[in-house]
Amino acid sequence: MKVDLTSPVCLLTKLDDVAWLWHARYGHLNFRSLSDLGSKGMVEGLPVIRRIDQVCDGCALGKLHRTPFPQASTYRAQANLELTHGDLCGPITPSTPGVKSYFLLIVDDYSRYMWLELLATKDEALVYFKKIKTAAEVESGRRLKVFRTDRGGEFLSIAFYEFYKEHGIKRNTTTPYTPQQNGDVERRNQTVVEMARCLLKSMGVPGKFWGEAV
Amino acid sequence: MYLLNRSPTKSLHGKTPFEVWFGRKPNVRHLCTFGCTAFAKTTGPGVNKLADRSLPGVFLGYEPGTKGYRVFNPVNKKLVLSRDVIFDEKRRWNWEEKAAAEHNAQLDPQFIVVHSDDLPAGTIHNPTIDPDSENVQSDSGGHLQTDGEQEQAQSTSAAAIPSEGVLQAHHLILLSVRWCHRPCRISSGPLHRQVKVLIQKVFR
Repeated sequence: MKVDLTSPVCLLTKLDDVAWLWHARYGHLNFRSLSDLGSKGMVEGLPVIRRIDQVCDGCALGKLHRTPFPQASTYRAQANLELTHGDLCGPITPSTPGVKSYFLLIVDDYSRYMWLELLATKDEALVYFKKIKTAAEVESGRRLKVFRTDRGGEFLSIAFYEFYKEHGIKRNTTTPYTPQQNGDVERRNQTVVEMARCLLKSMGVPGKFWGEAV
Repeated sequence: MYLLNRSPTKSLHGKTPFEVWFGRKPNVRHLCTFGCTAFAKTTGPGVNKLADRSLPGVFLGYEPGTKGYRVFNPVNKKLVLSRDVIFDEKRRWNWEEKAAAEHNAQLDPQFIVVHSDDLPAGTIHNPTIDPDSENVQSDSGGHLQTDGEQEQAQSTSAAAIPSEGVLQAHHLILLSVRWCHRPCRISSGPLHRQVKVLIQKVFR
């Protein structure tokens, strides 16, 4: 059977034409407001406009904004190491006496237990991830299942990918430029840095000792 | 990190991450203020009967996997791992003191000799020609030939010691004053004369 696919034709085009016309005339006002104006008699000379659920190109181009982020995540891990969040923070100046200027922070979603390693360069992330993962797995007797990070180059490297594949770790990455999706670890980053700063400042310890305070 | 794993978090109600992870409550009796002054017991060979029993340092956290504190000694720049530590939690380590000590070592007053003509203009009066040495021929090089110097050399001023106010204004402390002879040539004549120059040891 051959089906001719043509562009869909709306049978209520006639009605819609009026709606679209007034939508355009009213400066692309949204249809809910348009229909309110007409139905509640707030203005004169405006026909009652039916609400329609079609997308206006102009509105899509001109009005699209970021979708709001949920206030609380819908999913929480049910056991240790089921889901972990990771992030790299830095470079922090001055570097430590051991020339470390980054830190890798990994948070377990279930227990909120954290691990932190100091890094000299970003490419050391994999080495220290392995270290933390192995230690945590031995400690808890469970396997790390999901590792959620942002799309930092250090987490997307081929070496990292190979490691994920080899150990069957499911990789979750945030949508680009959406650190909100990695909020767990991002917020903790902030807490860690704040605490380190407080510790150093309150006792007048030089900044290069931040590695000891985090 | 050590502390945050032992701190409450909003998403765990009434438990710390430590407790959820390890299944037992963390013990925090050993916690101490970060960065405070700590005295770590000196151990090992070479500690004789009258040697100091501890070395002061800065407390920099807890050593993982050991029941010990990390105490950093900024003087010899060594990290000591010790469980025998006395903390003075109220006292900060004076990091400036150490920096100041280093600074002072470089600027040891014993070795600072500032010639009167090195000091900022107006600090010290002119070097004075010693009348006794006018006829003494100079036998060494290093002639001072700047015009200013010559003029200064020609004028004979007795008050060469700077006043206290001047010294204070330049953050200098006068330690000692002595005269020494410098060869100098006066522009008007070919005669080489020894000029008495005021030399001060100052502490900057």
